[in-house]
Amino acid sequence: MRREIALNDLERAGELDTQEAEFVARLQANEDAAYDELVRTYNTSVFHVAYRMLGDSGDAADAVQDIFIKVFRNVHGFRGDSSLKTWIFRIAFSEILNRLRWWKRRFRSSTVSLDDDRNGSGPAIHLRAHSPSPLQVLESKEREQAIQQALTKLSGEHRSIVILRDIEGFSYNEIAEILGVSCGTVKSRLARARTDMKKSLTRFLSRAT
Amino acid sequence: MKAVSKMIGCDAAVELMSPFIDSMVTPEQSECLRSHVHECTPCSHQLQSFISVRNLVAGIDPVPVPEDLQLDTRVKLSRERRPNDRNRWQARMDNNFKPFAVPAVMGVALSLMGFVILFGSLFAPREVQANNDLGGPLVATYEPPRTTTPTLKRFSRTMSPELEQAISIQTEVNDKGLVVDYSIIGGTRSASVDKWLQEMLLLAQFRPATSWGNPVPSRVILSFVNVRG
Repeated sequence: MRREIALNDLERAGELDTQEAEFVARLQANEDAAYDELVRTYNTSVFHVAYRMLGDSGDAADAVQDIFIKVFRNVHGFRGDSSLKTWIFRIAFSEILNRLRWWKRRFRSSTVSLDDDRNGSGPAIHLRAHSPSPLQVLESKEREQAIQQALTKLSGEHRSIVILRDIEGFSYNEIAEILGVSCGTVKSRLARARTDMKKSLTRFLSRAT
Repeated sequence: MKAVSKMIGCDAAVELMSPFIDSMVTPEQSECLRSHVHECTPCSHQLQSFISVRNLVAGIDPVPVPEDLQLDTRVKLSRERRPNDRNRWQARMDNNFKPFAVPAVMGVALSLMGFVILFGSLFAPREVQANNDLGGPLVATYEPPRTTTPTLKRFSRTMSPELEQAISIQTEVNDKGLVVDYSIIGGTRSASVDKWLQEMLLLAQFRPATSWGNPVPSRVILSFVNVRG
């Protein structure tokens, strides 16, 4: 499914609305239902970015659990300077980038293979209602693999920005808040990352236009 | 042949392309870029490929989330949220054992029921008829501890004084059957009555009371009346 990209989002992440403030208060009061809702709401999106960043479903699932625990541990320090979603993704990327750094130290030469679908929950292509032909399925899978490999080739910082902007649709300001960098840095890193992605995906670009 | 815009060069145009496709440029920068790519074919292709890259990445299919991830996350989170170690341990026990608790209890209950039915049918007593010879008593009766009361064994026949009315005394009898003390609990007390009682009780002998076959101290109440005629 194609995701919407938020365009013209020049405003800084706004004040918390009342509903979100109430929700945060419930989280801070350690309310069971609030945490169930939190997991229900953000589980999928956090898993997606974790998977795109780490390239492995099992590692992404572990990261998601640790991220929610960190959210719980830190929710009392949440002051509403950004939206709850931005704050959660800041924690998520802090955790994910730490894992990538650990990985880099431990397995410097290893690369992530998308064919290595160890737990069966990798980037399989799912048949849709209109039942694409086997050729289309193959092309789609090939494209998915190429995109993931192109993402994997990027540095952690560049990959984060591409995922947050082009896949998750965050604004530049939100990305700056999540990654703790300036808006100008986001702009320049994104341009560089897209240039690198363009080189890796040359053979797919004519089809995409 | 590459035509160069009057406003900006190719390097500046390429720099603007990424923010341009995200609408993150000023209207002036946007206008400069538009006019540049309108005249510069390579930059026009370059811009198109930037858009294509973004569209490709944005169109990537979301990966399927593991089915049990949400549940696992909630369980792990609930353990973490318990305020102290005891509750955390309790939550862990609950999470681990609650799913098995009902089936386990049912299993044990059914096993016990089966066991009782099986062995009950094997060892059930035969039906008892009124004329059956059971070869002995069916029920052992409960016998309370045996006790006996003291009884008078020997009594001196001394002359009693004239008693105007009946007199009752309470005597303390030791485990040898001898009177060690007495008190008048009914009737008129006098010196002659006391003397008579002391002489009589000094020589009195009881069979001591017993408990479990052993002699024990006891109390005896005696009444005396004058019988005329």
